[in-house]
Amino acid sequence: MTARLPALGRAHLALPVALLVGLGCLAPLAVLVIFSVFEVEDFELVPAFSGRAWAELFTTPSYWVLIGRALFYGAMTALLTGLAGYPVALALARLPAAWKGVAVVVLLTPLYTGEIVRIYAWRIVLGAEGLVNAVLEAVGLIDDPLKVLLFSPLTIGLVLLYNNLPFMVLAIWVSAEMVDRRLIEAARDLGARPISAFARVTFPLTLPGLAAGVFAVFALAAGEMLTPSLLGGTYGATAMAIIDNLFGTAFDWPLASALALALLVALFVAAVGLASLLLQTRGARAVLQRGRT
Amino acid sequence: MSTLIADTAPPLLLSARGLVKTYGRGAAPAVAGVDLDIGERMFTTLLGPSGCGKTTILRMIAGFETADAGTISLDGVPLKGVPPERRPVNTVFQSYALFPHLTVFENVAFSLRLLSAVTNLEGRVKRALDAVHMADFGERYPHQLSGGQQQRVAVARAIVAEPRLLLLDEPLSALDRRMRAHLQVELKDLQRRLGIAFVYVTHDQEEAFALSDVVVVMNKGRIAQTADPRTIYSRPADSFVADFIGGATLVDGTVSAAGNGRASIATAIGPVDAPAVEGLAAGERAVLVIRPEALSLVPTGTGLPASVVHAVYQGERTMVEAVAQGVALRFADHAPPEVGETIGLSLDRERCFVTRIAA
Amino acid sequence: MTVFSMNRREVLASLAAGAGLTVLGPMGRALAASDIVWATWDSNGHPEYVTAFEAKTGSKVKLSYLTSDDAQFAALKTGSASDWDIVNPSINGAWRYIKAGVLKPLDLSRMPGVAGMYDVFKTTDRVKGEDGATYAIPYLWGLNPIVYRTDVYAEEPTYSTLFDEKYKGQLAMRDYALESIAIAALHLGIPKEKAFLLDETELAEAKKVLIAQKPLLRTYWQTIGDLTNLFATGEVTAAFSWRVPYDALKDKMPVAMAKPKAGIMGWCDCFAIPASLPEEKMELAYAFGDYLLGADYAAIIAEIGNYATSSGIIRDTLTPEKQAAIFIDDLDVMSSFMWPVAPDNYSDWLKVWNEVKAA
Repeated sequence: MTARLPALGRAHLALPVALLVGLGCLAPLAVLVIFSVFEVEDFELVPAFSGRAWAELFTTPSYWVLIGRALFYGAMTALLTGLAGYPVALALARLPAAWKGVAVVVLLTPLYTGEIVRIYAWRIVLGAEGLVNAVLEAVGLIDDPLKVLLFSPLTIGLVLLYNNLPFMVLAIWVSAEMVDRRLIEAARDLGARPISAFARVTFPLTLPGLAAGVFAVFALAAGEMLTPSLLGGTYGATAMAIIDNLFGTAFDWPLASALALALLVALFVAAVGLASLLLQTRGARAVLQRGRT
Repeated sequence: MSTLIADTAPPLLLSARGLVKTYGRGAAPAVAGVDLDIGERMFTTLLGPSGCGKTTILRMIAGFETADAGTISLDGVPLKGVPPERRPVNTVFQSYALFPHLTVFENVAFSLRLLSAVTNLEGRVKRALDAVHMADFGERYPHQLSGGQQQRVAVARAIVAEPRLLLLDEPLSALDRRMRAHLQVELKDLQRRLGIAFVYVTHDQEEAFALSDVVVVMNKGRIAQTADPRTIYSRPADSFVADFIGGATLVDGTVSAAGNGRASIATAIGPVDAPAVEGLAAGERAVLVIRPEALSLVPTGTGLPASVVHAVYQGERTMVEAVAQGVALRFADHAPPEVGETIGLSLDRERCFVTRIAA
Repeated sequence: MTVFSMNRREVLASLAAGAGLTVLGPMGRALAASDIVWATWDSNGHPEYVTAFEAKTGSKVKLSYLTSDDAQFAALKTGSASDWDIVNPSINGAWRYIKAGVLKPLDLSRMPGVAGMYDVFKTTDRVKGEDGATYAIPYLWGLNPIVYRTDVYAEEPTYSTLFDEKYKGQLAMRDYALESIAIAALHLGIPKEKAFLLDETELAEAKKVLIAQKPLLRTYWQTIGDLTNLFATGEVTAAFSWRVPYDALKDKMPVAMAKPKAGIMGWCDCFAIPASLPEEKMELAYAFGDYLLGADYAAIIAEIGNYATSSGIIRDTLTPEKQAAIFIDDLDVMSSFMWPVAPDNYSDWLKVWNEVKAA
């Protein structure tokens, strides 16, 4: 007995973390799995062990359309924020230290305004009688307001890009700060023009940041519900809103659970796939291994 | 080696005139008017304490910094406006700056892959790795190498494209003493074999002497002295050089007479007539540089009376510090006196040197 | 006042929290017997609406505002609303409260005010259980008009206007399966009695016209604040609505409310007592229910909120303008009421609606 005590002691140390992980992450998933095979009778969940919800999920194409759309929004936003955020992040990394603080505040300020405020602000900017249309009409570029600016897929793309750009920039920025400036000088010294030094040194070494950004932005954009529903017009249906509807209004918890699980699995597989593709590169591996020698 | 410079002065490779560089408004200039000539195949060392401007000069030659004033020419061609990648100059960085995501082979091949037409890339990389005894490590990544090995790869990477000039920015400073000594020998050997001119930056006087054909001692952004190591040691141009080289005792005094390469100087330990720097005048304040080898023990009661304050055992000899007339004198001896003992010291004037007080 | 509250964002949070926002916080748990907690919409229960009751009975009415009908139901179902003494089901949703057994059967003889109710509310079966007992008393009602811009529409719009190509890009529908599909049915000519009882073929027809309608719509509106904003910013000129945008904007732009002949969607909130209410509180609860059917409440909510109660008790004392404003100038309107009520095949409706939106 006494011989086992030290091992037991170490196990105790890990226990709180294990409990947290279990309760915080796995327990809700388990609940969803269980709910998805229950039935609802008279607004009570009955442990009926029925496949009804899953059968309905698999036979209703519109659910899969919406899951596909979530994946598309996520991937598209990750791509666009990556393209737009990369130069911003690199520029930030090159700012004098004093200006970096200012830059962070500017970058993050939109996040503090709250989603609803931002959504209504976008309506003021992009609406038929909004800022952009007013300016375009004033300078005579258009005669009738551009209605496609608001309540269209374009709006969803634009706002998802705007909402998620700070997360992408932050992730790449941290990564860019960790790239030793002397490596860039070394590349220049060895004959690389600036663009070539970027492609051969900076870019590969900032891939971990890009991967983190992709992972975060993909999940955030794919799970976004308010922006599509309030700015996407008739294109704004999302799997999230349907799940909400099924839980609340329809009281169909089994189907809501099944759809939530399906969405979760799809998003998780896609996000992990995207991020690990990026982390497989030798640049990313080099950065991740650096601490281990 | 002094004869090498004097008799067979090599063709001029790099020439800098009037270099000035200031960082930030109101700051003292990092480089305050420097003229510098580097000969072909020469090993030139910029030596000085940190902040003396030696690294800045290196970075201006490499193209990472732009001079506020002055010109640099290589092979007679001005380098103004030429970006680093188009200068036939390569650098070995203090921290090696190896690309962590590339293998040793790819690190070394980096510059060759950027050239449009390279024949025998693999052979050239192999040869460069061979030159630094790293041929077997091509597939390793930098993080799998020791500090000394990384340093060798950094050298191989910098020489593979056969630059006209190799710049080395304190390349050995991160290594332990034994590895440093070992690599000094290798570097010197490599430089002779390749025939490439090296410009080497260090704050370590021993390293500078061990490696260099020419040493440029720098102080506060200016050149204090440019000469071969032996001259720097025996005929320091001013009190800063003498002090920075180390080991010597500097005694203030007033010149009573000067001329023909000699000067008489009145000091606390009495008047001394010794070889001197050119251009001293009677009545001028100056210093007497007393090297340890200029002092020897004589029977007590003869010579200069002094009292021993320290004796530091260093193996085959012992460094002794003794005070005479309030002046601390250092010398080496095989049979050291006891601390507290009163001794007699003899001064070999021909091994002393009278030089200017540095600005 | 919302009959079907669908504040989507709050549903899950409220389900988790188990209750609406209790205005008075945890103190409510220690209430005296003369205090009563009314769970209701903020628009039904301004503090000044209940001061007359408090003066008459010497009791205190604590207001606990609901966030959604679903949250109210869930809170009662899970027992996490133990401090609520009076609750607020809608006439159309009452059946699920009754079926779930969360309401007490009511003794109408303890509420004399019932006698003054309009017949349509007095005789409705929607508040009766299978046992024939009454579980909820309608007390406040209104109708959901089409709100439109009189400068854009020469004639009063009908439901078919919402499907008219001519107004492409300036129409809006509520993001809500029950009402939107019923409106499509009315547009297709299905009589109002059958509009909530669609068979499979009719649902498919409705789905077709709703998909065809999508390009005509500016958007689906989510909350009434959302729709008010859409009117105010000129994005939308006609929409199936509540009266809120009309009241908010009638002084700023030319807006009006249309009551389509095909059938008017009504809403109606009910007074009900949770099954768990202790006997000693029943007296005060009945008194409060009777107050909601009385003159004091009717007068003040007509004045401030522009709503009519289910009792005709003060109708004749109001000006014709006020009567028109709260839709009781012409009592025939009541015979054209349609009560949106979820049909047995409601899950099919939801599926249709989801398919329309995902199309």
